[in-house]
Amino acid sequence: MNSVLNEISPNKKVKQRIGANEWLERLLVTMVLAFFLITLVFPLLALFVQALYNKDNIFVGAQNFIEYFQTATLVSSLKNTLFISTVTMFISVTLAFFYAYSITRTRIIGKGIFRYMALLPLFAPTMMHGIALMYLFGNQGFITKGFFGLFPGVDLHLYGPVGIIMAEIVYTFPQAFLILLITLKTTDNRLYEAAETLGTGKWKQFLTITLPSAKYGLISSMFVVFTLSFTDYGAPKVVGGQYNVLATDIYKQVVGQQNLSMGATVGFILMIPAVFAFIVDQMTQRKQSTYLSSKSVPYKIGKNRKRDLAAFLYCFSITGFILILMFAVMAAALVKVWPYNLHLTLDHFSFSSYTGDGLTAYKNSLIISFLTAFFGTILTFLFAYAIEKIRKLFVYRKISYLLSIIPLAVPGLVIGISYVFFFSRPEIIILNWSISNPFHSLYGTIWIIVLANILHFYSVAFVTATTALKKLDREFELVSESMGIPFYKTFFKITVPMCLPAILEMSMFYFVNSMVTISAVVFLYSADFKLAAISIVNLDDAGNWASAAAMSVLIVFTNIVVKLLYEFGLKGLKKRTERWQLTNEN
Amino acid sequence: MSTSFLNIKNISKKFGQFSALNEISFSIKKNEFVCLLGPSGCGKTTLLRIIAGLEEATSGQIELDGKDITALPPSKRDFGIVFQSYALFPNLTALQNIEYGLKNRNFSKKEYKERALEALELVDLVHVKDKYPAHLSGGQQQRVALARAIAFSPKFLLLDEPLSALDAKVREKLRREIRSIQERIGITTIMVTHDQEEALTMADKIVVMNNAEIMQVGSPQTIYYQPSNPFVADFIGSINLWKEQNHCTRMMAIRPEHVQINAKGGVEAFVEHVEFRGPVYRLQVRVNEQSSFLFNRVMKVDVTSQAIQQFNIRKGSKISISLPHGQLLAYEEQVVV
Repeated sequence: MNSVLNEISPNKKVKQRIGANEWLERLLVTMVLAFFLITLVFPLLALFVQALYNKDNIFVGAQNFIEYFQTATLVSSLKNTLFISTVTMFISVTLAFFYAYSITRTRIIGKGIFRYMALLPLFAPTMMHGIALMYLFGNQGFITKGFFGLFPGVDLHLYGPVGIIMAEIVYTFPQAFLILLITLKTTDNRLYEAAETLGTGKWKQFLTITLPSAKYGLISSMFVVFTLSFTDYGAPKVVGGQYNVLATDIYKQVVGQQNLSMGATVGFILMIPAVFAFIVDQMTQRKQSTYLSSKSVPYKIGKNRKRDLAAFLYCFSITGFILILMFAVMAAALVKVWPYNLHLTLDHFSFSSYTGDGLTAYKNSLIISFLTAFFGTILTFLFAYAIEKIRKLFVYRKISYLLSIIPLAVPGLVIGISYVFFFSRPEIIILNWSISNPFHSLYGTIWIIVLANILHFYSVAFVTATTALKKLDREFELVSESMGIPFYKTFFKITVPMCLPAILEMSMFYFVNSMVTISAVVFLYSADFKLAAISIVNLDDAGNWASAAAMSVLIVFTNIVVKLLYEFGLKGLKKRTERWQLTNEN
Repeated sequence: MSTSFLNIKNISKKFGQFSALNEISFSIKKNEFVCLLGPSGCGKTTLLRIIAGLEEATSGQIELDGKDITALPPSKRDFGIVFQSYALFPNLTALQNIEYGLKNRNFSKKEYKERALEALELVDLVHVKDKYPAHLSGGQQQRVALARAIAFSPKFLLLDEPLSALDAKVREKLRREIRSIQERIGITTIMVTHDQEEALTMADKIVVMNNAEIMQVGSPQTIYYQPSNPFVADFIGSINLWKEQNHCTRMMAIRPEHVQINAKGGVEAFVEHVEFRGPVYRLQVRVNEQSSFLFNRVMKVDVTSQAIQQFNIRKGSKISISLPHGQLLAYEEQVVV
């Protein structure tokens, strides 16, 4: 046998034999690619193709886009949306910047509470911000009527751009805050010390060190806020009045007028800022890292009472406003008939009216959120593992990585309609070949909603998983391999236990977002399986605002409970993992 | 051939246009401790990874004990490996880390527990068996990693810069320890290092590499006293190198400690610099004698403190040096890489 092997010319490349281990690795990478083909690539292709055909399924090329820009009502929606998003972007990012600045660069008390309060809106569907504003600033609103006539009222003319912008600011504030918090945290105190020794004034330091080093965070948060408000469906639905935006247009085109082609066209336009934001984000991320080196020194906050007082008042008023919104919705849900009968009642929580499917919808949302969290976390972690830790199949893993972050650029509404286009077809026609669609059977089931949610929130969870995996030594896998231990054993015995905090965070993230989301699922739910977020919209449409508020309260409370469970679980985990971690990075 | 245990035959590795290894061949005897030594980027780590099977060679073969293992994946090659980062599993104790590699083999529970303890005993760490890696010192972590790599009695051991993350004192102690453990269990070992002192003190055989090629293979003494080319001469230790005047293709070399200082009769030189190095002084002298082929050349000379006193050497002194014939090295210039 030896002599036979020796006859092989030494100049030939000898491929390593493939064992069960290697087959399993290949299978895993294939799974990743297959998942994205089905949930991302094919649906988007279907959307793209749909945009090139007209209502009667005849190929028309760019005709739909031309028609779009010639339809006055549609163009005015586009203008409206651009206006809303731009104003929201400037206000929300400015507010969030100073809020994050107050928390990272001043000595105010209650930083922890302020931080949690700023994130509270994340736990609520955007419709809820609209409902809260309605009860405060609407025609019969608390403030509009001047506290039941005690004071002269203020009418903001809520329904329309004012209401939408206010709701979008509440919705996007936490997102901008999170980005800017990290940005402002990562700085190098040596820069400030150098400035100090050069006699640079505080204001000049802010302009020449703080702002430039927060540049990429600011750019990134501006794009994120712009994109979120550009594509949001919930707020315009509730407080938009007659003011049309793209997100409500797309729904009207697809569901109202059954004009799928125009729906696809609007979907494309909806994606433009998100794609743009995605590209900018990828570019700035690379540059951001250069601001911090391993030698950087954390920021030291100097004493300044005036600054601290101003910062505290600022954070207090923002937190106060968020809390007032929450209380307004709670009041709305607990009061008999606003504003005529102010007795407290729990009637609205029984959801006795037929609209919205009441508690069933809430239960359905729990099921969907649980399934999304469960399967989403498993899939995301497995995929991130395959992409990060498998040694071979370099090109496939690179493609998989790209596919894993692309969902960031696809708004929920676009996921929703592209799923309609792809999964509702019993047959797919490729170059005049018609094959039956094997995934058609998913359409109309709860699984398509779960799938849409997983894809919708995939990228953020993926980044969480990847970050956790990157912290683990690459050589764990190599050592195991040398000892003849199959990679899946190391995966379960080492990788998963080490990454449990990240896994917990991912499941919480999937759950909370699945509870509040409406954009993707509004196209996908079936009549006998409604969701809580959808029932809010239906109740609001029917004028049953108290029940809509009650449903919102239920969602927020569920999410707060889940978040508390998460914090609790994390604490337990930390205790467990403490013994094999260094006694804190001192 | 019968004595060679691990045979590296014509191994080449290309990354696109870039050639990381070029027709590398050498063989290792059973129980031998071999060091792959070279500057960073010379290909030594790539070669180690190819021997481990973590990387596939573009061409060439690897034979272990007479069998071709080129096509075997790492798990089938039967080797233990220790990385610079140790790669101990943080959520397992020292003992569990060692047991982990044994569980998958055909040992009974009792047997693998015993073996793991034995391995810990070998590295003298039984007293920390229940500690997690984060609570061990760097040197202890490295020894646990070593114990884990040899516990399942692999056919050979690979060490990838195992000591470079440690501080100088610990490093020196571990050099001796690794070597004595290696001798005790008699395991064929390949260690990658860029530290010549490490290679000289530990290895039976050193493979000096540069620019994807082998420059010389030999015992530490051979490599030091008879470097076969200017690269090795210059890379290992210090050396004075110059072109011989009459033969324009020949290079001459001599180590600083081989230059002799005489009361009289040598070549006259001017001391430009005196550097104290503990056991010896390093002088930098400029040759003064116009008739010498070394005229105006700066030479490094190592002298004992005794000699310093004897000849009363200070900065600015004039001394007389000579180059003993037996210690002079000569190279044809085309060898220079």
